[in-house]
Amino acid sequence: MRRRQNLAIRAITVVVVLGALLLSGVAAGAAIDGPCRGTVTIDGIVYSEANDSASNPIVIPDEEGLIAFWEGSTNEPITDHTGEIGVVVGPTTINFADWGGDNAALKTDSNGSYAIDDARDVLPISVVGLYKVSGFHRGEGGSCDGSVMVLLEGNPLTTPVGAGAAAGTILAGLGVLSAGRRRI
Amino acid sequence: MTGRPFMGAFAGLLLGLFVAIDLQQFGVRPLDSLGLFGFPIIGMILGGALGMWAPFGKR
Repeated sequence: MRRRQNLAIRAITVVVVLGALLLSGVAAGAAIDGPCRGTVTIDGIVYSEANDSASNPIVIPDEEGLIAFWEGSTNEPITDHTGEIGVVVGPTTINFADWGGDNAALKTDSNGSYAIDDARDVLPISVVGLYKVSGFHRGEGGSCDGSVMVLLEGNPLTTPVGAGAAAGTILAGLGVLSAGRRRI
Repeated sequence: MTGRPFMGAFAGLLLGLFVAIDLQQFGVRPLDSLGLFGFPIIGMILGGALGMWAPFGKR
């Protein structure tokens, strides 16, 4: 009996330390590998590939009518190129955009703008929170891979996912506490 | 006289999964592989250990 309790206390100590490490261990990624650079301006703030950590994300405010102005460049022209960009969820990436072309004009830079409301309209439910967005641009003349961190501002408790997860946390927590009640 | 280690492990697994989603929703950390698998595993061990230890209730 005493042995089981000591084992359990040791296990709890180990998982508390592991949990603390998990909470603190969101290190910055590699930003962009390759000859590509880019910036995006949202609500007057300029973001770049340096915004690749949870403590320094690209912030998208919970406001209507926001426009994202983007610019991208490569050191040399990349021809016959393809590219993809998506949200990292666990071990997989859910792609939400792709592109391709021959770049016959041998351009090394591009720019444009995007209405953030258009992206929100495509989603079936409202979402908030921190997302790792990863992508690549490859072709003849160069290859780039990179990721940034994006924070969609808003109250999680007003979204289906956030409210469901909060309720699930309470119920599962009660289940854990209930399992710790002594049976006679 | 013990608690319910298997129930604790299952509830802990769910608790870890929901905590990982909460942290993502509240902008603390993204739902990457480490968070998606790490927190449920930690929750499972924590719940199972609490079930073995059974610190709550009358002696």
